[in-house]
Amino acid sequence: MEDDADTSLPVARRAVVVGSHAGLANAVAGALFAEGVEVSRSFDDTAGPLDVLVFIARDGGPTPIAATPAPAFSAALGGELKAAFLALQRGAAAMRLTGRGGSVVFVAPASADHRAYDALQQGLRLLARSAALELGPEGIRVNMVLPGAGETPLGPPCTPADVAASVAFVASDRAHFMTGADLVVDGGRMAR
Amino acid sequence: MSGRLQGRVVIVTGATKGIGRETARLLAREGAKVSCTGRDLADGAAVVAEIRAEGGEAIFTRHDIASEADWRTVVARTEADLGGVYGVVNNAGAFFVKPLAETSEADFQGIFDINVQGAFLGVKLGFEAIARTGRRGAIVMVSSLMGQVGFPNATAYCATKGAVTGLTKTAAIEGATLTPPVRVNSLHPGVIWTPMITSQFGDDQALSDAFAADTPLRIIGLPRYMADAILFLLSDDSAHVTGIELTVDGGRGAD
Repeated sequence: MEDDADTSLPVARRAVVVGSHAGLANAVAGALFAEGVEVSRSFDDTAGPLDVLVFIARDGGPTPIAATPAPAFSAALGGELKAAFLALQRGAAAMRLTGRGGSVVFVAPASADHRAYDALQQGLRLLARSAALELGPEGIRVNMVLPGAGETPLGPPCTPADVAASVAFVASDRAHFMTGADLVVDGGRMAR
Repeated sequence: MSGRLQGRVVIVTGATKGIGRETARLLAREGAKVSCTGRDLADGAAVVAEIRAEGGEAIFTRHDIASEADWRTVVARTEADLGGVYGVVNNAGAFFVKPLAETSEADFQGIFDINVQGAFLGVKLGFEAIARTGRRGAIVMVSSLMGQVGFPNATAYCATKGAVTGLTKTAAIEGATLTPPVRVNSLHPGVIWTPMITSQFGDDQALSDAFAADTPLRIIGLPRYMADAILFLLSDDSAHVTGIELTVDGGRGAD
């Protein structure tokens, strides 16, 4: 009997939010929770099916390019790309268990004066696009959210809450047909 | 229940069919007062009836988007009947497929009048109307994946949507300097199963299946998906988003 009753309940969606930027991660976790999603802050806390993975990349790195030793560049960018890759692999495997696809969101915040970091942003972006093509047939969507840094044409810098609202949109069924795409949250900076 | 656009007045052009119709209905469900425009009076009456049946508020005005006089009529009637304008969805557009060699000067000019001049007037008069409220606002341009990549036999259409991309970015930069500011973003749908597509390619299941098979997500685009994206771009969820191209295409453009 109880089993019968359970089948009529809405399925709780589950998310993992990982990454190195605590302020953003907290805001994203809060926004997902507000939409009724169960949120874990590491893969260690969760096992089994997954609907949403949010990977938040670091927002700075070695700078300037001319003064950055190759090992520092390699460690900072290679380490972060590898972390994203592993999270993606693990997340996709857990999403397959739901039988209803899923949504992966890479968040790569811009960094006003860390130019070597731009290579990481673009690396993550192309990893997301490639994964979108590979995982699309399974209904797993992969997108980028790209927060800007500093003052913007609209005025003050965007807040973690601004970024979180965009991540929550991309993670949800409201973005059901969106994959392999970028959502820039920068108050118009990149439009110039 | 309070919706994401509770009490805000939004003009939706091309609201009689396809993406525009689905958008008008979703915005109304989210609390917006919707000023629907289009060319077909019967279809316009039908969408208004649908919205009212769901408890929403809407009006319809006949509208040639290439006509500034028509735009002024739409805005005046919206302000009189629904109140000050918060947002504009510049959705109406023309589409045809024809090889470049067979596309006449008249074909080319005709589609520019609708897709580019219509979009230009929508932003210009949208800015004016929003400024009269003394509050911030948001404008969404419904462009196309074909404003970002090429598509065979759609030279004129792709050119118009490329123009809309430049128009959007410039309007976003100017809109950000207004007090209060107006956000302007473009949505780039992939293949969405609407009369715009079926009128050119045919309305049969095999074709729909072929489009789905050619899309990484393996599904055909539905107007509802675009309505959700337009709602996001109008709502406070995107309060810091302006001047962007939001591609929602099932992954077609990522290839």
